[in-house]
Amino acid sequence: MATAIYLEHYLDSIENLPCELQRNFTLMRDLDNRTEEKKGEIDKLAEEYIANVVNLASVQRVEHLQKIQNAYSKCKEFSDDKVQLAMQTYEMVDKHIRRLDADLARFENELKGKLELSGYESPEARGLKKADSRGLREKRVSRGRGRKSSDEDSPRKKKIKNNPDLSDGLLPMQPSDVLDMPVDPNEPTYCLCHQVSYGEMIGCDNPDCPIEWFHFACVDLATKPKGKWFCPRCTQDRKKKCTIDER
Amino acid sequence: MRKARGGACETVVNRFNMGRGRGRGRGRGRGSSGQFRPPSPYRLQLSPSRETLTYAQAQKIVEVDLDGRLHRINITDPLPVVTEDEMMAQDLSECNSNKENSEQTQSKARSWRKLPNVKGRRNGKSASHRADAQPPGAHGDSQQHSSAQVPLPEPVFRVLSSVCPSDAPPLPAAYYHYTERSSEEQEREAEYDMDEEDLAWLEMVNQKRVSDGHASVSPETFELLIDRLERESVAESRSQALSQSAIDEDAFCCVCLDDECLNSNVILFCDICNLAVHQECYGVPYVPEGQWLCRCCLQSPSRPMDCVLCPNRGGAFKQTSDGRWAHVACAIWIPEVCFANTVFLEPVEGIKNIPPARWKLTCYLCKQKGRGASIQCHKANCYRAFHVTCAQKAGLFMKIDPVRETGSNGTTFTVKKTAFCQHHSPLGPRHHGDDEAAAAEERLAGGRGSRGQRSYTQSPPSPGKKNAPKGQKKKGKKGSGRPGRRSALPVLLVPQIPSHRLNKICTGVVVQRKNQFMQRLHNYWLLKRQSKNGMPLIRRLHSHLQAHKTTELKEPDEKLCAAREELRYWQKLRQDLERARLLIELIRKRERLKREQMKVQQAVLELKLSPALVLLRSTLDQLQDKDGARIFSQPVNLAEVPDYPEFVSQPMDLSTMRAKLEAHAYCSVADLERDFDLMVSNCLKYNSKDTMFHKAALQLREVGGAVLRHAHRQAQSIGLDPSSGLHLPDSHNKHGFNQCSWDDVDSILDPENRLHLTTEEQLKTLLDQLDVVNSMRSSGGRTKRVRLLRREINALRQRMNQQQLGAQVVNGNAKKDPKEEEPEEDREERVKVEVQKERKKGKKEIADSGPLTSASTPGADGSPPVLELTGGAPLEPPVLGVAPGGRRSPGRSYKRQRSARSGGKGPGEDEAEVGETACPQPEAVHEVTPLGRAGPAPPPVPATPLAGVGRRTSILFKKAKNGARLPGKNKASLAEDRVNGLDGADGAPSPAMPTFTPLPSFPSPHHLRSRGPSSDGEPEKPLPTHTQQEGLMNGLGKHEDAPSDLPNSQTFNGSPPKRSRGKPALAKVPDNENAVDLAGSGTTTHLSLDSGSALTPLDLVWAKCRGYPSYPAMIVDPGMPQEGVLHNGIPIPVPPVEVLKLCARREEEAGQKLFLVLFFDAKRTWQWLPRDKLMPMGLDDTVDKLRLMEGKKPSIRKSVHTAYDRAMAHLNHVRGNLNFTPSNFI
Repeated sequence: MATAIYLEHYLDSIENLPCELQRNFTLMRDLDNRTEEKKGEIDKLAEEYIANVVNLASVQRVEHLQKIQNAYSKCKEFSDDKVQLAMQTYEMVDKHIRRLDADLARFENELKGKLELSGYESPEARGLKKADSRGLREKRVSRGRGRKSSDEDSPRKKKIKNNPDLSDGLLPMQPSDVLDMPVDPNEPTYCLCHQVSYGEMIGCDNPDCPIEWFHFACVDLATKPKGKWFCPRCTQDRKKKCTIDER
Repeated sequence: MRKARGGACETVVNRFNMGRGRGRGRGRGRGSSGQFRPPSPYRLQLSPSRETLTYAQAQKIVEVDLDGRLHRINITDPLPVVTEDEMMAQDLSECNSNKENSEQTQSKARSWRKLPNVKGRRNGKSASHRADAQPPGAHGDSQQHSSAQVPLPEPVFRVLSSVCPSDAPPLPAAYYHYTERSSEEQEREAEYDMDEEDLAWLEMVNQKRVSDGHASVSPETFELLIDRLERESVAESRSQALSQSAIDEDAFCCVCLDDECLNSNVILFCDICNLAVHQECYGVPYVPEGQWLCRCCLQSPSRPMDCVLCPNRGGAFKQTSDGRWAHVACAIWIPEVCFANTVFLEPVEGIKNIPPARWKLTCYLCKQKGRGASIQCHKANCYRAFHVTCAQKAGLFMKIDPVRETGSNGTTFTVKKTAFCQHHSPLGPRHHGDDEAAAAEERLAGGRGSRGQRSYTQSPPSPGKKNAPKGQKKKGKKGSGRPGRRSALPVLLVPQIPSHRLNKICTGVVVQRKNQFMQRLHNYWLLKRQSKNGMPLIRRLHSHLQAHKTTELKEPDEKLCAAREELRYWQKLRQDLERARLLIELIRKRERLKREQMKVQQAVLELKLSPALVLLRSTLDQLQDKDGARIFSQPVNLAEVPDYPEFVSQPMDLSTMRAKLEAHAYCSVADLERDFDLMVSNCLKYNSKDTMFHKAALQLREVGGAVLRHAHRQAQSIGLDPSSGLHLPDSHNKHGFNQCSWDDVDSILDPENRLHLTTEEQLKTLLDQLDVVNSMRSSGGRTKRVRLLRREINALRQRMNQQQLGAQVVNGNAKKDPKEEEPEEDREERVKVEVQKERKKGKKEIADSGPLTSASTPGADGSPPVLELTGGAPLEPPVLGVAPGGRRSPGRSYKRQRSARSGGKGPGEDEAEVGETACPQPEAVHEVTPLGRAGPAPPPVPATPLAGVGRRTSILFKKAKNGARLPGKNKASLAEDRVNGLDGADGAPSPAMPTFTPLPSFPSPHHLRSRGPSSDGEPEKPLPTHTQQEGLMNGLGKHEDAPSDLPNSQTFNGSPPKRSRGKPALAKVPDNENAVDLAGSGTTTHLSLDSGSALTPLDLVWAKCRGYPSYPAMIVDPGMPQEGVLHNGIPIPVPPVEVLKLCARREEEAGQKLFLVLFFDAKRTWQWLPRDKLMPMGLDDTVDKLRLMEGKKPSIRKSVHTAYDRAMAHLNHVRGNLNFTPSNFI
């Protein structure tokens, strides 16, 4: 059935996704291997150092340690690259998802329009509608998820994941665009409560925050706060740091 | 009941037998005695009188006495024998109908006949069967009836040997369950079952076929074919139904012309002519299943009907009793006509009763005469006549009202029919009722009119024309194929099956002469369907037909299904993507964790490979933290202090240390400590002890020492190998740290226990213990021990200093200061020790060169005058500058100390005379100065010796001292030094300049002050003061007058508003101790202090009026110019003339000199008070506090507080010292 042309386009666009995913994953794998190599190297160096340290002059010691240091910085570079890659990949998939969501919403609307045109609503159509409303309920969840992730990839970008017109004002999300999604047991958990993401979430402005995302309710928020926001933990840490600095 | 009745019947028989005396009783002698007899169902008739009967009659009658009533039964009447089994049926029918009938005597037989059902009668003919166990009563009675004399048949039975009773397998007793068969299964087998008709037909057909020489058709084949036909027809009708419209919405009953449709009275449509009538209007009490046909379609479908009562055709007809037809409406309206059966509304009766006059009436609407019977307008005197249908057509007012009439014989319901001609219709003109139909009734009538028009057409005079008018009607429910329907039977009710379908149906069947047979079969089937009103022959299909009609409506949107399918596909895709996203999110998290892990690993490895380095690094970091002013962070800039190398051979600083650290130059904490000590000692060596650098160094050494000790302990506990910087293989001494009991501490505290140690060792031990104790949890014991430890440490240090001093004194000029204070606080003590050391150095020089060298007072309020970090060093805030002084005990003890020292120092010293002269001076002036003076940063001078030379000099031109320290310059003359100092000042203006900035404020207060006492003639030391002032004033430019200058400046600098440091209580105690040590002279001076100090105008005092507690006030010079003065930019209120006038009188009264004070109350009251009522304020926290607490009432205390705040604010303004906040103190 020749449906909307945009969906065909979408299929075209998504065709490359698996390849790109594979490419990125391969790259990451590669980096991982190299990191492991470096680690082995470091271990060797360390053993060597421990064995010989007594005989080494201080300059040599410094040199040796420097070598280890360098190896580590290489490792860190790799790690950063990997994280970067993961983020990019995520963003890529997320982009596709958001586009699909928008397209699906459009498609559904058209379908509904057709139904209305045909003058009556078959029970199936009603069923569909029902499913839609169900989807709507679920959707809040999954949308939160979606939104969150979109922002998450760009930690510098900022903030509340659920602000609808934040990142994709271009893609008007219809309420019925996402369907029931089965809950994945592996879904990462967030927040102080260690639950999966749902509803509106807020990102901690500390880039090194171990948790990153928080449910509004869990941090006693009703609306998105202005300016920077730090999670309770990071706030504490920062306070400590501040006082130390003052001293 | 039933039983009883059965019994009754039996009795009847018995009596009958008895009465007749014949053996008929064996009829059905079952059952037992019926004791009571309810009225018999047979209601044997009570005969009026026995006597009326003739003999012959009597012979034929049996009398039965039941329940006291006499029943006579004709012997020829059949007497039914009723079994219990039949009771029920009898009951029912009995209840239903025959109560009335049974009353009739003569019709007994008839009533009896009525009872037995058809079956009974029918079966009756085969009497032989009756002998079986089944004994239907009807049969019995017929027999009895037919042959009364014939003996009743004997029951006969025979055993059938051929029948095998149990050929059916025993079914599971549990349950039967129904499984829905799939459509394919149903397809395969024929659901149709033949009935007798079919059997007969098939027989006939087969006979013919056989005679024609063809094989006969088996019943199975017949059933199968019929089944196929049924299915086909259902499918066909289904497809037809789709195109048919549903029920006509605005159908109306053509009898009453109403479109109301209730559930109990629905409008029915004839399946052929589409006539619409109400159930009630046409007499159809039950809506039949299948098709419904109106009477005329049913009975003469091919012929149009003409009503006998009107000329119009169309509409609902009923047959009359004489076989003609009439409109139902006509029959209703024409008064003489009625229905024989009012429920089924047929047949129409009473046509004959219609008077001829009615027949002769001429309808004014159709103008036809002699056709049908008309009715007349019900309006009196109106004789217009019209046919009922014509009136309906014209929409005349015709109304049927139910009327309830209550008469003598009960309430009866009748209907009142009213019809008016056009002119008399109650709602005005009726002819254009359609247009004016506004009111409901009008609408009704008008509507009816038009409806009537639609319903009827005039029949042509010659009834040749067919049912054309019916074409006007709405399309019927099953009105497809209308054109031919009149001529034929309602064939079209049964969906026609196209021939190709027929062929298809019979493909699977092997029959000879197939086509012919199929044709016949089809026809037979059609007829059969028709005979069943078009009902499907298979029930299941019929019921399915309805359901299918609804479900199949939904089928057309296959497109929709496809779209849905597609949607599902996309949603699946979406889910997959979501999964992918989740996966990547997890990967991202994993990578982040890995990165963190990497960092941790690195840190771990570093700790493993170079634990010493890490420890040292952290130690160094801590040290650097302690160096808040960053004095030591960078190497000394030799460009700024070119002479630095002359003093310091091995420069050291924290950054250098760090570099060495990173280069693994340090193997242990000891190495680090060595460099640290070097750095500190460098600083101490180069800078004079009154510079901030010096102090910072001391402080750093103090806190740094603690840090290093801690590091030492850590290194020890973790077990570091100094050679490799690695951990020792087995860590030892893990528990050495932090594990000591109070006993340990106490034992250390006892001097006896550490006698074996050298003083240095003792000091070290004590410090260690102090650290340990400090690190413990806070408790009473801890605090106490900390204090004890500190005291011990201080004592020890002092002892060490004394030892050193002693050594030095021996070497040098023996200027031992016997009045060393016992320090109360660690740091303070250290400072002092240093000071003393410095002093010793200074003394050595002084011994030859005179007073100028001492220079122990720091000019602390400016940027460091010296060398290290000159330009870059931040301007020390005044408060900091004050610090050392603040730590010192306040004025009193300070003074005492000084006086004692100077006293001790006096003879034989070069500066002796200066000291002598200066000595009393500070005492007198000291306490006053800080208040009156506007120095923004009161420089602290703790315990400095009275070394001569002007403080300012030393402050401003620090280099003088440095110069003096230069080798070979030891004996430099005073003049030289000053020159040096000047040079230095000129040479290094940048560091010096900041120091000057506060100084310009000096002159004015000093002017004031010097003027004050002199003009007031203050008795105490007026002269020295004066000279000092002069010296001070000139001092900035002139150095020659330094000797006299010195003490003064010292007093300025040395007056510490110690509250800024806020440790009054601690400071106090040792002072007292000192005081005890100090012997008599000290105490006397101490006493003289309070009252003896001179008060100068603009000083702040506690003024005591009678009846009031001491109150903050300011001394005002009564001789001040009337235009007012500015005290450091703050206007001083001018005393009113009245107040001034009071002076003389008050002085007379008091007999002594009085001071004019201005209170700091809200109204700024003035007062003259003697000296003994005044106490200097702001010099001593304790004094101030005491005064603040003096008030008895809270309100007064509060007012004093307020005034004090005000005074302090004034003081702050005057000094321009905004950092000072009195509230802190309070």
